[in-house]
Amino acid sequence: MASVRIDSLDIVLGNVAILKNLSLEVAEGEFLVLLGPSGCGKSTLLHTLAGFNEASAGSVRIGERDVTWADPKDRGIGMVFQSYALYPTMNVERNMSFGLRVAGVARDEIERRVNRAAQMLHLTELLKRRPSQLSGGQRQRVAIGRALVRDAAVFLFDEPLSNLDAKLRAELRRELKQLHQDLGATMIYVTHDQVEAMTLASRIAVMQNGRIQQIDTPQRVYGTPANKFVAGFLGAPSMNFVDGRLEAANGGWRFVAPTLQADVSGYAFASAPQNGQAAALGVRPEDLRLTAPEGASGQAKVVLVEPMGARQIVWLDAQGVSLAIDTDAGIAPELASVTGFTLASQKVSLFDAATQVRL
Amino acid sequence: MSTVVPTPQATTAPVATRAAPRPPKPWITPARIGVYAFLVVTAAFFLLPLYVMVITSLKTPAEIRQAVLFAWPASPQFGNWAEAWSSACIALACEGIQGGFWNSVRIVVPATILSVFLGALNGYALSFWRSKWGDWLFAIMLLGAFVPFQVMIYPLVAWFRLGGFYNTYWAILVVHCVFGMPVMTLLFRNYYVAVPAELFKAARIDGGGFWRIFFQLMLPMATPMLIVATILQVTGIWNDYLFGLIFAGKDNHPMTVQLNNLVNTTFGERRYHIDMAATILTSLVPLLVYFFSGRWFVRGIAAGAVKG
Repeated sequence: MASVRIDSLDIVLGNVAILKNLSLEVAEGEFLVLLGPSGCGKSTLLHTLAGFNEASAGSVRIGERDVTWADPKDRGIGMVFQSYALYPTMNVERNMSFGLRVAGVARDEIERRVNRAAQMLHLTELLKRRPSQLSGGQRQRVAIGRALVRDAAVFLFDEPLSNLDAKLRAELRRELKQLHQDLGATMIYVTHDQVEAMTLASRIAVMQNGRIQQIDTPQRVYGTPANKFVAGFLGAPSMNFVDGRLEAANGGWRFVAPTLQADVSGYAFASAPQNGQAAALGVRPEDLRLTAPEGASGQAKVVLVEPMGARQIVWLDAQGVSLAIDTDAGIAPELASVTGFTLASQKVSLFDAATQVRL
Repeated sequence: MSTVVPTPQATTAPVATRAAPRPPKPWITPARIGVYAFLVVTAAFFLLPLYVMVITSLKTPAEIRQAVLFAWPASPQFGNWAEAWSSACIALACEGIQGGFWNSVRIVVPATILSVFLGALNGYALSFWRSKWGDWLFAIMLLGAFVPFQVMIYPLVAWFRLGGFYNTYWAILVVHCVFGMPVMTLLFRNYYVAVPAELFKAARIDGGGFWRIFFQLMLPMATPMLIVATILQVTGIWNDYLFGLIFAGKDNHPMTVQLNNLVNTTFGERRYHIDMAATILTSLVPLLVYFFSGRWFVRGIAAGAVKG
């Protein structure tokens, strides 16, 4: 176990700056998830930690040691890849023990560690099988086992569940979380799947264009997004945005837009807004409610209903602005009918129209 | 099946409700006849010469003089083969072409092992240990595969003479390794480029170095390519005539050169039966490779065809 500390790191790959002046600290035993769309630099960051990319500037420390220029094998890391990357000519046991054999670990110690990892990952019966004789989920468990036997200080995961089908993914996700609880090891996990990020992480770092946009606990990243990008990236369906203005009223504030009006006096502004300031209001689908048109925050036409079992998503068209509402499955509103909606004003987010930063 | 009415009968006896089997297609159609006719003609095109060679090698000189090309010999003369192997005359030495056979073996085995190994090593290094000039090096090497050999023969002769080992066993080994390398490298590089880089990265994290990753991971992984490359090199080097004639020197002439000398050695009458027997003995190795590795052989040809 060890902490990880990245200091003003620059990564340039073939004249393209992938990461710019990036700093990040991961505490010992933390489960940090790097989340972002493809091309945001999250995988590059992880591979730099593993030692596969050269830093143009900045430093990487694992534990007490500066490993900026260390060889991958000397960094005390274990890594799990999306494509499993198992050695196809070796059986499960030899796959897991390869690194230990290279390092010249004593044979009984190798056996002890492999057996322990196999037990944790339910692989004991499969030790003599070749990777080609395993299912996708089993393969990925072997890959995790290979990282485990190294007794690494930091575990790196590069979208490890992306190649699995939905059911297996949920299963393995739970196993990973359990594993983290049991081991208490430092883990850094790259994904573009926000469900994985929300369920696994101690903290989430949301990345875009080589920069960390926000790094915080899953609840806070979801509840109080730092800017419009983070707000829109997390959540499915994603947050509804309405452009409008902030107006002072009776000592409080109102958000006024053609489609809706809301009292935002209770909103925790970072700094006092100006009267008439242009802003975007963001509200999550579950914080909107369907009501009668009278006395509602706004009115809209029902366009589409997506039933999802226990819940349903109702899509509204509010004068050209598309709104999603997440409600209990029940009586579906009639298509093309006009309905009212209210929003839970204590849960909205407000963003500056120009800078897109949270107000 | 969806149109079946779910009567009790239908559920208890599903076999009865199954749709009638599709009527068998007529076996003989004009298209099929055309295809088979083409295949037969093509096969005959390649098999007839072999047939003529085999029966001619089993005939007596008298039967050959009758000039009935496709006639089966009255009593097959297997003694012809023995003579070609051990007592036919090449110039003044009457020892058959067995010496050539063993010379060829001495050339083919080490040259194949070396060139395949070097090709695999090059392919591995070029695919995974990318260096700044790796792509240039590969391009230059590929260029080498397309320059006609004849252009390089004279400079090579001059260099070897300068180095003092022209007309030796080592000269022919070096020549085969050098000329085999571009295609071998191409073969293995294309194979390794398709291997996910993550596999290599995983091995790096596990502490593997250049040689360990090569020998324990990448070489065993490339077994299909190793077989294909070996077949290509064995047949290629065995069939080589020009390099053997120019570089090997008289004592190391491979079987193909000996065969040519044997055919050109005449004392009055041409001994076609012995020539044919010697030819069959010479082509036996590629033929056997072909028969026993058909699937791999085809793959090798396909892999070689991609180079263009």
